Formats: sequence, structure tokens, C-alpha cells
Amino acid sequence: MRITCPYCGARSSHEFAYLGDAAPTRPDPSAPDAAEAFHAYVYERDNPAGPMDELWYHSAGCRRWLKVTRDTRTHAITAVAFAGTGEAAR
Amino acid sequence: MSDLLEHIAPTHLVPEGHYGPQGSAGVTAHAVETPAAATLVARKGATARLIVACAAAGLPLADGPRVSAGAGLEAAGTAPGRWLVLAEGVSGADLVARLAAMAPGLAAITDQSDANLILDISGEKARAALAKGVTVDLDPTAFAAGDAATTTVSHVGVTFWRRDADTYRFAVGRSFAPAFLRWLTVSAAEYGFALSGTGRG
Amino acid sequence: MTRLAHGGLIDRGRTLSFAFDGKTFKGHPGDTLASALLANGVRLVGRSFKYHRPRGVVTAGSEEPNALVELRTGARREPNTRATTVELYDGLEAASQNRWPSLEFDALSVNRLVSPFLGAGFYYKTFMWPAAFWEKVYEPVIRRAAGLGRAADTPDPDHYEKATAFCDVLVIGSGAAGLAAALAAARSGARVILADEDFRLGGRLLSERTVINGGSALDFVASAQAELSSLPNVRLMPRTTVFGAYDGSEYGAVERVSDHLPAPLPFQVRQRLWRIVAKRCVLAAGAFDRPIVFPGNDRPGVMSALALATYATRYGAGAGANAAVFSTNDHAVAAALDAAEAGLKLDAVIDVRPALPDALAARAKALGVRLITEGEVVATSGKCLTSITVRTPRGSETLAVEALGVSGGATPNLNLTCHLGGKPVWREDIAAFVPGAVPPGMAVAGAVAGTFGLADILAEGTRLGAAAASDTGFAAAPAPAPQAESTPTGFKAFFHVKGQGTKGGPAFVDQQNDVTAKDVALAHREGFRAVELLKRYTTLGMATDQGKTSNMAGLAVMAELTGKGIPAIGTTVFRPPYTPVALGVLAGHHRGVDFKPARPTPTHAWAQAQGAVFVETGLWMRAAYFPKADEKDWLDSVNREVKATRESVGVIDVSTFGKIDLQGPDVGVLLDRVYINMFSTLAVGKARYGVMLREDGLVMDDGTTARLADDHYVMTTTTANAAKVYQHLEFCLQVLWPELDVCLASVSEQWAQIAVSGPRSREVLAKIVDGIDVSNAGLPFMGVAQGSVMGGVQARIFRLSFSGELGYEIAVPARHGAALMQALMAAGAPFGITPYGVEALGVLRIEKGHVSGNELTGQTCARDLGLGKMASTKKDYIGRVMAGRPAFTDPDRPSFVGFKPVDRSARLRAGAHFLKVGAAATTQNDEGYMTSTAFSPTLGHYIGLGLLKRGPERMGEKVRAYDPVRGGDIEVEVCSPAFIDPQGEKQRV
Repeated sequence: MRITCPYCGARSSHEFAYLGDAAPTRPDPSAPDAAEAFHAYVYERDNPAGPMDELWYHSAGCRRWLKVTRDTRTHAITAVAFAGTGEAAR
Repeated sequence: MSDLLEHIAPTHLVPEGHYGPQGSAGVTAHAVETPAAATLVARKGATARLIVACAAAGLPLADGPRVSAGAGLEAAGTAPGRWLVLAEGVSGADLVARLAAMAPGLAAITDQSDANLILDISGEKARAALAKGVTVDLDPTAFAAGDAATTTVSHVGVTFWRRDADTYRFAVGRSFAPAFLRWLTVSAAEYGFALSGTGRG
Repeated sequence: MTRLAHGGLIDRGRTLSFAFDGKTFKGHPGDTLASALLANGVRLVGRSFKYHRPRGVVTAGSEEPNALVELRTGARREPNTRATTVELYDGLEAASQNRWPSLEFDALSVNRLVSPFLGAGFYYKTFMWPAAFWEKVYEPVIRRAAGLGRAADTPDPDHYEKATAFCDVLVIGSGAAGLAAALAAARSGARVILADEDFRLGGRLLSERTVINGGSALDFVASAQAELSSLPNVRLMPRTTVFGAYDGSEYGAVERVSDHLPAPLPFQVRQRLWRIVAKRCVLAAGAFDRPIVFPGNDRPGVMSALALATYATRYGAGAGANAAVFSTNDHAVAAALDAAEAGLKLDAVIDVRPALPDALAARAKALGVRLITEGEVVATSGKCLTSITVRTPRGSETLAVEALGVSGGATPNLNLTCHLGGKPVWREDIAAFVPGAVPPGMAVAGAVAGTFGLADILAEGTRLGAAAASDTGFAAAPAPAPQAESTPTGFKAFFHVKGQGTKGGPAFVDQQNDVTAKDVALAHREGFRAVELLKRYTTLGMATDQGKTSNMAGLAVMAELTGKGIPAIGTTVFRPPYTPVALGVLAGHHRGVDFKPARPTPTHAWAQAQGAVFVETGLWMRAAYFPKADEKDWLDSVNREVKATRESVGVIDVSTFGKIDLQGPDVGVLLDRVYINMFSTLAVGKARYGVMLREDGLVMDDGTTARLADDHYVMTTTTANAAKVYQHLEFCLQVLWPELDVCLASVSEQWAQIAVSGPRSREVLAKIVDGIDVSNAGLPFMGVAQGSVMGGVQARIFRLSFSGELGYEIAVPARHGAALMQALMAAGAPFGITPYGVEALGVLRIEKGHVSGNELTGQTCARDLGLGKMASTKKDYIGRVMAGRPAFTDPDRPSFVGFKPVDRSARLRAGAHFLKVGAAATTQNDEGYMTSTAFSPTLGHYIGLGLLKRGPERMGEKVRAYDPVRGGDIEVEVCSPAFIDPQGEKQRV
């Protein structure tokens, strides 16, 4: 499998480390429901059949965290972008 | 393990010499004598200003995986806002000071002069030998002179760039250099491989 | 001898000598082992897997089910090699398989006599009871009786490697379709790879007498090859099997670099594994000649009709002194007539159809070949074939022939189209499965696509090759397709000769697995009708050939039984590899000491010179201990090293720790969020021990981080977690808090770091620094000094202690690491300075009660490890919320304490579980386990660290350390984990 890193270009998937669903965001730790929110953040994941935004880390390349849109049924990758906001302002 | 390497300890650099069939060498590798090196990392939001400042000081920085040269320095892009900068004939501390003076407050600069083995690989069969570990397309149409890549080769992390039509310059982590050279030696031996600069073993 | 008088793509001017089962034969360059055996009249080449029936060559390609041999001898002996793909070389040695004591007389062929009991599901039904018989009786007997050759029993002496290739268009198969596709793509300028498993390009064109562009097929192949070879954008890869299609347009292939030689040439590999990254692929893998199921169809001499023709035309080898062909289709008849023209004595063509096209009939007549229409072969005889019985509506007759070519039509070779889940679809008009959904970027051309006429095949190849190039940005000027006559493609769907009962012998569906039509019927009766069940119950389609020729026959027989038709039965799933791949080539360079990189520390060579014994820690090679001549074992050495360090001074290379440089105004903020304790308040010139958690509240890593300047820190991580922590920090900076202005750089390789420990360490250090004040006031505990050592070598000195003694870690640029070690050894000589390894390091830290990898298991929280009090309550940090979960704060949770054996002479072992004294050894009574143990030379007995339920409340209590695996059951006393200097006074002097 090849992943086209926005910086490095097309690379073997061996160069990347997989984290998982890119959707969960770290909850506000001071919120009254922080315990429940963190439980969901750490453990609860959807398992969609179809396109999914995932976090991959280009560990053997530029060491950027990437948001990869992959179809879980076909492994087809339709988009790759830097994860997080403000990356362009690096 | 190859017979070629049977008597070479896996923790030692492969000694200089000719490996493979006698005759001319299709692949040549030379360990470059201790150039100074540093990572240059743009501070948050400062990439564009850093590029402008360095260009003004004589070092054009490429905003991508490419290498550029100027002011006696050679800078390879390794990540957004990040470069590996080499300089020959100066100390690591001098290099850090020069870079800091070029772009005050715009970058974090870290001496890496001892972190890597710098190896120049060339020869008409260099590309064929490198294809046995490099998983990046090295065809001239895809990886031209000036292009750089940070990747893994035979389980070893490297940054390398094509200096000119003939030469690829590799930066290999110091502790991984023996393993990298073992891979390169067995991969290049069929074409005749001349290795220099790694000592007599 | 059945070598034909002339012809064939063999070099008759040179003779090669080879041996089969010890007997010597002659062949020619260009032969395969199979063609050379046939040319020498050897028709019996193996015994079958289950019944040990005599078997001969069936095909002329990699789909061969029968002619499996052991190739070469000694360390290079390779079982299950297909004789049909082995290139002949001088001195080749091969042996038949599955026979005892000899191929001619096989004792286990008695299995045939009991074959009524060895039908489908035999193993499942017979070897069920008693269970104890499985290992001792059944399995050894079955293994001896049923096997597929012997592997070499010594290490493979050859080398293998892996390589990556990139192209715009990958063409798989170099027959008519593949050559046309490659030419069209290559002429556009696209980068083209043409791969073929054969050693010669051309595919079936090498065997057929057709006219292309006004010349012979061979001339076309030669000119196409010459043109492709001349183009710099083309790579021709003969002897290369593309065995798998993978995600992202990647293909796996094996190039047999040296298999055609007795041994690889110097500096050459035996085989090379290719990963081919192709933007587009044209699969032109052709089709298999389909067998027909009829009684006695496995007799040596019965083979594929196209193979029979190939042996005659390409190899100049007759499969027998005379031959007949049993066919259902024009292609096979034409091929048979080609063979007759090449000199094979072809007595008859038996075709199931009522008539053949006039042109073929006329050609047969001209060649004196008898045509028997509406004919079926219903029986064969001879150990190797001597005669066949033919049944027609007009009656039966027996023909005396030594070879029978059989063709039931074409089965497209669509294996690779299925590797990403594509399902074949049935085409009634050609009675065959053709590719359905193909992998992205792949197109199929020629026979694999169900296109059979030569003119159509050439046109399709040209069109798809040009389209593939065009898709990758190379606008191909539309080149004309090679022109050929339209070859006849008539056929009748016919799979199975019926109405014979058991007369004429068993009718085989799968020769490799000895599955007969009767076995399929049995599976049907017993309800194993779904295609995947049929496969597993009967073994149909398993083993080295994966049913390339047999699957269709099995499906057809099952379809007849169910009355549902073949498309309703479906096919089994094709998975990579297409043909077997040697494990050696998958490993490539990475075997033995090159299995993984061995990372030396900066002082490795020095340690080696001191006689150190090394141990792998991850990829690093670290000194484990430094034995002296008078020491009887490792423990003696370790005890000496520990005592020397406690009593005077010791040194160890700790360069393997991960080191991360952090710069920027927000480093303090970041560190406060990743460590449980505060770092933003750390003074410049100070270091602090920190613990970081995962977001789930469990400990991720620990280490010391120092503040070098207001906006500059350097972090150390454990050796094991260096990469993981760096990745974690990047996650924090890029994903969680991208607003933070922090720049990271790994400096693990840049700095050598050496720890000097022991009461005399300050005196040693003082001798090598360049004017740095290392007094207790100048460099207090947890202080950091920057300056130089050894007369100008840049250095950072951290006053840290892992051993509990006065200690320092000195970091210098890596090239100076060995010199620093030597300087310390010289400076420490008056104090008997002693290098120590990771064994002594472990003992020192266990004596001091520091946690390490054995405790940081990913299942322990800070509180478990006695580190809970470090956690700041003034800030949030990663893992804080989840670490507050009730289970993690449960006082019953096993917590970190020390243990001493009550009987001080007893040995403790890590892994022992704790039980209350007197409690039964049950899971319910388990109170935790011992994580680390060591013999303490300081105390003179074994000590341990572990996690014990409510441990810190139970000081002085005795518990059992129970270790049933190693027979340990020792009473231990709970104590503080700090066995020495619990107040920490020594490290602060």
C-alpha cells in the first residue's frame, strides 16, 4: 500500500504508524463530565464500513501526523492532509 | 548472511576496500570526513520568514524535500519547516552559530555533527544497487538532482538527496551505520563495489 | 528415445547431462527437466500424494500438479519443484517424490487397494479415536505415507535480496496479448515492465504455428523482444513470477536469478523479491488447458493437449512414440496438428463434437491424422499409457498409443484479478469464468479475459497497452496492432465422461490431491456442497498447484450433481501467492546477524577490547558484564562490578537512552502537560525526574529532563521507548496543541553519555573537566553543568543517580564517547574504577528500588509504582482524568514494595505470584507478582521488587512467592523497595 504524504510524496505504508479514527478530540479536562468524556475519547470508536478519516504518523519520513481518508472496505485512499490545525503555519 | 560479510562484526563499519568481482566498480561509496551538521527547525509560524532570512544571508532553503546550497552550506528539507544543514571545514558549534546569526529568533538549531555517517554513493550501477533497499522511485524523471527524501532503507532510517546526476548523499544515524553498510555492500557487490573512508577495520 | 528428429527452440548443438533418480540422461539448452525426461522416454516421474499411483507430466507450465521433484542435493535440495518449469542445466540432479523404496515399485501403492476406505473425509472419519493415538500413531504414519518431498536439512547457503521497481505500466505475461500491450505502451514513452515466469518471452506463441505480420509467430516474438530491449523505458523481466496483487497498485514478484544454474555465480543472489509499484497493469496471463474427467485419466502419458503440442513444437520432444488427442475445441485440434507437423506421430484426434471446421479437417487429412468425431475416451490401460478405449455413437474401439493429449477448453488464468477480493463471473458463451471486478488500475487482455482468437488477442493487447500508457500521461500515437489471421475458436462445453460407472478405473478431478469424481459425489451426498466446503472436505484445489487445472473439473462435477449449474456453485477464493514462494526470498538480506540492525554504542569497540560480553537490548548491543579471567561465572563478574561501584567508582555507557532536544517559549507548558509533575518551574541548570502517562492513565515512560536555558530543555527517555516518546510529543504538538511553539529534535545519536557512579566519582570527574566546579555546592544533586572536558570537548554534566550512589552522567558529542571513556578510566585508575554492564546496572537499581522496564509494563499506573505522590494537583496532564478511575485508586490494587527471602539463602525469581501464607494457590488468592529480582552483593542475599496488594501497608509481613512453573514456593518478607540508603543521603553528598 502507498500513502501520499503531503510533504514527502508517495511512500510505502511501512513508513507509517497507524493510530486510528481521527474524529475524537481531547475533551475539556475541567468539564464536569470529564470522566465520561475521557472514557469515550480513549475507548469508544466507531467501526464504519466505508470512507474514514484516520490518523497516521509518518514515522520513517517527515514525522508529521497525517489525516488519511481511507475506505475501510477497499483500502482506497482518497485524501491525505496534515493532521491538526495550523500546520500550514509551521 | 553473505560470505562477503562473514568476517566483519555486525557492530563495526564495513572496512574500506573493493567488494565483488575484480575490475571496475559499478558502485562507489565514500564516507565523507566529519562535516558539521545541524537541524534547522522553524519556530511556530516562522517558516516563511526563516526562508526569506536565510535566502538573504545566502542560503536559499527549499520549502519541500529538496536540497539547496549557498553560503558554503547544503540544506536538505526533511519536513515542513525543517532542514538538515551540512557544512564542511567548520565545527558544529560554528555551524550552529552561523545559522543562529542568519535567522535570529526564527528557528531552533541543534548540532547534529556527530549524529550521522555521511556517505556519498555514486557509479553507473548506484541506482540499481539502491533499488534493493530504497523504496522511493529513483528514476531521474521522479527523483532529479536536488531532490531529497527521508525514508527507511533496509530497516534503517536515512535522509538522502541527489547532489548531482551521479551522486546520492546519504545521512545515516551513527549507530545504524554498520547495518546500513552491510546492506549496501551485499547489494552493490555484484556490480563491483568500492568503499572508502570507513577505515581499515 | 522420443526426441523428434528436428525443430524446437533447443540448442541441439550442445548436450547437457543430467540425472533423475540416479540415472543419467542427456538433454539440450532450452529444455526443461520435463521436456528432457520426455525426450528420453521417461514418462513415470512421480507417485501420487495419497494412493501412490504412478504419475507423469501433465502440463508444460507452472500449473503442473504431478511432476513435482526434489531438485538438487544437500543444502540446496528443494522439494516440490515443478519439472515443467525447471530449466535444464549441465549436471542437474533431481529425484522423484512420494515413493518407497523406488519409483518403479512403491510399497505404499497398496493404498490403492484400500482406496475405497481412503475417500474424501477419510482422515476426519478414521483418525478420531482414541485421542491418544493422534500424536503417537496416526500422525507419524500419515506423515510418512503422505508427503510432498523433503526439505534440505542444513541452512540454505545462498543469498536472497529484495528490490523495488516503479513503472507506469506493468505487463504480466509475454504471450501475444502481453507483447502487444508492452509494445503499445512502450512506444508511447511510458515506463514499462514486462514480466513472465518463463525463461523465454513469447508465451504460447513459442509453441504455435501461426502467422503474424506476414511472418512466423517466432519472428514476431523475436522482433518484439528486440524492439522492447532497445527502449530505455522498458525493463524485460523473464524468469519473474508476479505472485500477488496488493493494495495501492503494488505487485509482488520473484525473479529466479540463478535457479537455472547449478549454483549462483559469485556475488549473485539465488532469487530476488520484487515489489513492483505500477500505475497501471495489463494482465495477460493466458489460460490453462482444461482437463476432462474420465476413467484412467491420471495414467502417465495422459496430459494436456496443449502441453503435448508444446513439447513437440517448442522442445522437439515427443510425449510418446505415438499419440492421440481427446478434445472439445478448435484450439487444441490446431495445436495437435502443429505437433504433427513438428514430427510427432499423431494417430488420431478424438473430438466430442459432431464435426470440425473444414480447414482443420482438411489439415488433419493432409497430415494423415484420423478424425474421430462424437468420440469420448472412456478407459486407458498400461502402467504408463499403452492404449485408450474410445466410445462413439457408432461403437467402441481401442487405440494403441503412448500419449494422449486432453483438452476440455480454456480456463482463463485470472488468479491475480482476485487478490483484492474481485469475484470471477461466468460467461456461458465460452463456458468459463472470466475476471469480474479487477484490482484498481488493472486491465485484462487476451485469453485471461476470455478473448481467444489470435487477431482479437493482438488487437486487445494493443488497445489496452496504449490505454494504460495514456492513463499515466503518455499519449500513445495509435500504433497499428500486429496483424494475424483469425484462428478458429469453436468449442463445446464438456467436462466429464459419464456413464462408465467404475469401469475403466478412477476418474481423477485433482491429480495432486488424488481427488476423484467419486469423492466429489461423496462430498455431495454428505452435504459438503458449497464450494469452500467441497475444497476442505475433499482437499480439492489445495497444495502447491492450488487447483489451477483441477478446480473447474471439480466445480463441473458438483454442478452436475446439484443440477444448479456452475455459476451457482461459484469458485473458491484465489489468494497470493500465485505459485509457491520460498521463505528465503521473503527474508532477503535479513537473516542471521542481519536479521535486524545491530546498533553499537559509542564505546562498543572499547568495551569489546575489555572483553565485555554483550547483550541485545532492542536493537542495541550493550555490554552485559566485563568478565575477568579468575571469575567462574557471570554472577562473579556482576557482584564485583556492583561492589566496586558501591565502594569506590564504576562507569557505564548510557548512550542508548533516548534524548530529545526541546526549544521554544512553550516547552515548559508542553512538559507540564505530558509529565505528571511540574517542569515549567524547574530552574535553569537543574534536572528533574518525570513520569509520563498515556491518556488511559497508565505509565508510558519515565526519565530525567534538564533545563539548559529558559527556552531550551533536553529530555531523556528509556532506551526502549525513545521512538515512542518522540512520536507522542509530536502528537501533542501537531494534533492536540498546535498552538504551542516548541521545536523538537532527536539528539540520541549526537550525544554519547557515560554514567560515573560511586563515592569516588566526583574525584574522577574533577580530573577531566575543564575548570567546571563539580563540588557539592557547585554542582548539587540534580544539577546540570555545561562546559568542556578533556581540554576542549563540549560536555553536559548531569548530577543524577540511578544506582543510589553519588553519580554523574557526562554527555559529549558521540565521536568523543570512546575518548571520554578512556579518560575516565585513566582518571579513575587510582580508585580502581570499574566498568560495569547492564547486569550490574540492574542490580544497582533493584537495590535502590528504582522502577524500570519490568515495572513499566503498560499495565501499571503511577500509584502502583509508588510514584503517585509526584503527581501535581495544580494542573492537567495527559492521563490525569483516566488515572482517577476507581479501579486505579483502589487501595487493594497491587503496589510497589521490596521483598527479602525469609531463608536468606533462597533464590528469588521474577514472575512468582504472591499468596498469603497458608492460602491455597488459586487465582482468587493471588495478591500480585514479583517484577524484578537480583542477588544483592551489598546485602549478601537475593532481593526482589514486586507489586503486592496493599503492599506499602504490609511492611514486615511474610507472604509466599509461588512459582509453580519453576517449582518455586518461597516465603518472603515485605520491605521497603529501597534496600540501600532509603533516605537518599549517599547521592546527595
